[in-house]
Amino acid sequence: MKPISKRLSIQQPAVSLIRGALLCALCMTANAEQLGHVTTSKSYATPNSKVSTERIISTDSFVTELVTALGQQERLVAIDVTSRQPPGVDTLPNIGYHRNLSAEGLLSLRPTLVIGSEHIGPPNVVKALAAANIPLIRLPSAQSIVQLESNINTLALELAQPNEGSELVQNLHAAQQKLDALSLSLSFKKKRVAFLLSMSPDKLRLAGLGTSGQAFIQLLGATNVANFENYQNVSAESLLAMQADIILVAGRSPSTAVESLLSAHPVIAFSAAAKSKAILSLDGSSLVAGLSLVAVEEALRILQKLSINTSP
Amino acid sequence: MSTLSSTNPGAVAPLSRHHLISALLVALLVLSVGFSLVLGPMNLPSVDGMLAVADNLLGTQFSELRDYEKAIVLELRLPRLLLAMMVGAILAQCGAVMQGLFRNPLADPGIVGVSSGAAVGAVIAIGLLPAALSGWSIPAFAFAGGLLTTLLVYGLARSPQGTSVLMLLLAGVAISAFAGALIGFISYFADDQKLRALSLWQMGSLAGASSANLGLCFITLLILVWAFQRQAGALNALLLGESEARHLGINVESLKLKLIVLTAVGVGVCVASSGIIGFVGLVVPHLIRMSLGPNHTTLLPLSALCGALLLLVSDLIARTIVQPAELPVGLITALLGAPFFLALLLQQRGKGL
Repeated sequence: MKPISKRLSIQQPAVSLIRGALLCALCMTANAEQLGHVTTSKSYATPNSKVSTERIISTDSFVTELVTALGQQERLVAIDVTSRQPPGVDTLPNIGYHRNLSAEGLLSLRPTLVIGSEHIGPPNVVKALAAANIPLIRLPSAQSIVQLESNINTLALELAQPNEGSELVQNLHAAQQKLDALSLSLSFKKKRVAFLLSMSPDKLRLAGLGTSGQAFIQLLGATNVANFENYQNVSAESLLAMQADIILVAGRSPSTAVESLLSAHPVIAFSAAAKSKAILSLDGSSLVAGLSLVAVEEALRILQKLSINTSP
Repeated sequence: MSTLSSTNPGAVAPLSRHHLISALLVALLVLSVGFSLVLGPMNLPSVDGMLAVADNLLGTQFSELRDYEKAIVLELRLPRLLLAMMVGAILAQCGAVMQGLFRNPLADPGIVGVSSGAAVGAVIAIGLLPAALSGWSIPAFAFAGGLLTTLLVYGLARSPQGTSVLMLLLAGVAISAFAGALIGFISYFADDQKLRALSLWQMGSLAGASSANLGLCFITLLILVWAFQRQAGALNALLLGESEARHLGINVESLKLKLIVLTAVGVGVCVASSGIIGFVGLVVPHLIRMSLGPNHTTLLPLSALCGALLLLVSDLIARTIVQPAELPVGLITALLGAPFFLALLLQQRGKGL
């Protein structure tokens, strides 16, 4: 027991600096395990296909979501800084930002599988994982339901969860059919949508082409008002001039996003979208790394809300 | 030991104090190298970690580490600690030289526009060039940007009457401001991922240590140490003033050009291999000057030692404090250096500085 408490006293202040006491408790168990590993076994564990996916590190938020959706949350040993969904995962050890990982940090968690996106880096992390014979799966972040589905299928295969996987895919198909039907009934094809990312209320950050916001607008079956690439700050005046039929606000606190938008830019109250009560908020964390399962639900929720608003 | 030296008679004191501090720095450096090899997020037996290095050097088989654990020590920790020491030493020496050349305590290696020019180069590479090329394009652009900016600043400060130090300083400030605007402009139009890459680069990291940039840094360090040491006497003379130095027979104009180009190359190499790491070049020479006085023959080598130590310890903290993640090392150098520097300043004030 003595060496364990000794190690803890070294690590505790550093860790609590970042994630607080809850994480500390988790790290204690992790360290205890680690210590056991180092002192007891120098020999190789016999390779066993059943335990090969036992310790998973997810380096991207959409991966964390899918692994959890496949019912494999207890296999996760660490996540990246963008993984905030679903609730509960944020108590896991945090490996930092997925483009700037620490090779030794990853290895210290003794993963048996690392799943990330095409953004994983820097390159020496990939090399170190290969040197340690730790398999790495890189999935493209989804910009469409088709890609989301293929990610689910890949992961279901890798984690040997065919039933959960096909159930997720079926749900996704059902959601897509509902989306398409609602979109058609609201004649969304002609609708022009402005997608705002509200990181701070006084800035209007409008989603352009090639963004997750654009992917979300496509999910709704509508057209983006913006014709530039990436996110750009626009003035309230130019937002009015774009004459969006619908304004979506993605932020950290969806419950107050619309209110704070209107109070920071009162002039938006005169827009066509405001008059038809078509300024709606959604959970921004669902779009951190492309489309997620939550984003699909959000799209459905928004279409349903709009169909209620427009029906007399 | 320290009480012994402080009771020494006055005539011997400066020499022994110099030796004492050198010995202390070397001892601390060796200790930190040991810690850097042994400590990390991965909990490896310390003795085996050290033995792995010996095995690699001597071809023996003492270490009981597994292959991937050896790779952690030899391919992750060892290159990083070498890069940290070399970059720290180069930055600190360049800082000492710039402070001597400008006779200005606030001068740092970036004063002639190297850092800001290098930042513009890197930002162009990150923001405008395809990410697939970033492995070589960022260091190459950073180096070229730094060198070009320095030559531009030097060209602006030149006149038929010679190079004005004041003009150099002001041109450096102006060009840095312009570079800041350029960086802002490119970041404004960058997408979120590039933005993140930009801000991370500007905070500096030693994670990119490779045999290529280690070799480059090593050669640069050797050349700089040799070239700067040759000019130590001239830098001492320059402390008296430019015309006094000229009367002592020193070709001040060629000295300036030589030192500025060497500094630009040194800082350019550092920035290209590790991003922008602030504070080492500014604080380390002051620390040495405060404890040993401004004689460049001792100031230059000890600054290199102390810079290596500061960056090595900073990187050790950066990669262990938030494990399994890691912090940008530039944050730690400022966090460690600033309070230490302030404490020294206050102590000096007490002595009636």
